[in-house]
Amino acid sequence: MLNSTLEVSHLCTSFFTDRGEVKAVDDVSLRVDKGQVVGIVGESGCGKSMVARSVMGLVKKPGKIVGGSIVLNGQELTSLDDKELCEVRGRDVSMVFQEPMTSLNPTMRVGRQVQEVVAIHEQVSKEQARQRTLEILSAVGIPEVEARYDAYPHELSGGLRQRVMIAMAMIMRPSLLIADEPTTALDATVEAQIIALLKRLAHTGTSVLIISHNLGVIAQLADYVYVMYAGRIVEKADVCELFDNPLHPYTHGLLGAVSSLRSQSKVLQTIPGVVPNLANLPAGCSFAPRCDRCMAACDSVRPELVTVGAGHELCCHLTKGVDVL
Amino acid sequence: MSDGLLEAYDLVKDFPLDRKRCVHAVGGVSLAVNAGETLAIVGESGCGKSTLGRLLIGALPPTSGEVRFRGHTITGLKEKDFSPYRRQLQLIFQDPYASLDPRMKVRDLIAEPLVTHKVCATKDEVTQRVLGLMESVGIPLDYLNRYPHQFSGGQRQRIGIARALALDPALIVCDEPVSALDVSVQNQILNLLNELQETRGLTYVFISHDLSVVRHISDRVCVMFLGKVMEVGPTEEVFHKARHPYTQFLLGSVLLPDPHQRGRQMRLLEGEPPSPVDPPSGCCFRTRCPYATELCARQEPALRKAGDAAVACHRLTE
Repeated sequence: MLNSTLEVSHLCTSFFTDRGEVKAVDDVSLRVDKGQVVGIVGESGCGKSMVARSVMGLVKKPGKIVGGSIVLNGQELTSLDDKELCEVRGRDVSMVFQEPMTSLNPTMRVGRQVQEVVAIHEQVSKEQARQRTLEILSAVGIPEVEARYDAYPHELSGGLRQRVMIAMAMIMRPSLLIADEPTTALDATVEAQIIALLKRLAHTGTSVLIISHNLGVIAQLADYVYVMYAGRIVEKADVCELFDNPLHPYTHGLLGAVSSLRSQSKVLQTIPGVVPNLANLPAGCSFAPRCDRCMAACDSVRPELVTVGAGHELCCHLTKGVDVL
Repeated sequence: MSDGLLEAYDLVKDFPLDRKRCVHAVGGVSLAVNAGETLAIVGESGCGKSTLGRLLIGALPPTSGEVRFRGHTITGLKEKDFSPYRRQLQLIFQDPYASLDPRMKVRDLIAEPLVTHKVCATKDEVTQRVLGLMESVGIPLDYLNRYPHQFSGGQRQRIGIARALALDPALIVCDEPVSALDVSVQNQILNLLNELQETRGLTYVFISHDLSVVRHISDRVCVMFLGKVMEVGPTEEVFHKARHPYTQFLLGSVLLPDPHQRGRQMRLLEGEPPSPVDPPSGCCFRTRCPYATELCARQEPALRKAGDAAVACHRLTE
């Protein structure tokens, strides 16, 4: 138990809309061990960001965590009130968002924004806080930190802004860093720099939960991967196992779609259809309408996660036909 | 540069910021697009690739330079004279959410270009053409009276494609057509574009930052940096034998979807991108280039032939 930084069990987060309850996260369990990089991969609307927001206590109305538990370093987070959550956020767990321009305050110099995090959590002198800010800014690879300390966000490039965000997230040395599509808004060459930086942070013992739709990011960064579809975990495995031996038809389709881009074939592999509407999911497996291996049971019976190999779990009726290792 | 369907000569586009300064978005680009090919324009945000795409089809007037379509100059024409060329040169946008009028039904969205250009004699003919277009881009015909918000991202992009196809164009500029889409849907759209090219003999200018997509879809690639062409050539040649240092960095920063290749040394670019308001002297890449010499600061390298490609770098002559 002490080995895990984050343990999420049976988390359910729902949105209560005019059209009824929408289960954005439906019975999701995951764990992040100390110093481990865990990835969640899935397409837009699969609920991967809502898992992150639930952990951070950032689910906004009409959304609500309706069940399950979130334990961070032995502390249950779902029962904390706003004030207690504020103490945890930034100190024990912090988050880097997709769009650095909208997550930074455009009217504040970046140095002050980073320094603010220290001031909230610790009693330190201004000079100490400034010193620590300069240290973390240069640790995340920002050149000429003294000058950049006084810059406004709009004066920085996208890559530098994301580094500032990471500095802000890392300044209290949290045990868990959640990165939600941290490179999606960035250019290829900058993306590679940020991924290298996150890799370096993970080597210093910080646990990282990386959320991405990009299988390249996941392959390069994550040790263990959860695949989400329509609010649920459909497959989870060690990164190499998942890429070498994807068992869920959805994972198979995703990897096929990406790898066929790299092949010589003229016609690319696709997954037919579209991502289902979470407000109106099929009774059985959510992926059944798009699945090329759909059977009679898939339309009526919802599959559960079953262990199919060492650390490899699968949520699919096909498991019955798969040899359990 | 004579057998091109579309040819650009020394295109320049400056956007004024204030009285003194301007953004040099495109700084002297000459290139040819051959009939039936897909020419990809790649580069990072702000390199001028979208501006170039718009200049090529006359959607933006260049500051200087000229575009020729089938040998006819289309730059500086009056609206009336340009109209026939506009039918031949169409554009597909990146964001299918923002580029469709939310208050128009699909039938009206697709009919709009037909009506504007007065292509059809009767209303019935318009409807027939719209149905035909919907079929060829794969939108179910009973969705005729739906509004854009009732469609998914991929389907909206299909509507955008149908609008571009309506006037039977010769060339379509696709500006990041799949960047806003999920992987599984992205491939559906790429397959559709490929299929349409084969059946209709279309020519594409495909603007993208995604190198794996570009490699799949294009015949030739043009790599841009800060408004200038760094390297242009056949896709396989550029990907296998990248000669320009910037192309090498761009290719080296692709995150491979293969966890076994994690050990592969990624080539990380140092420093910050230069400003298009105040570009460096000489070669615009020199401030980030590990091989930059004194010559690079003094003189701008011209595009020179290297193999089947053309490259703008002083190192090549050595």
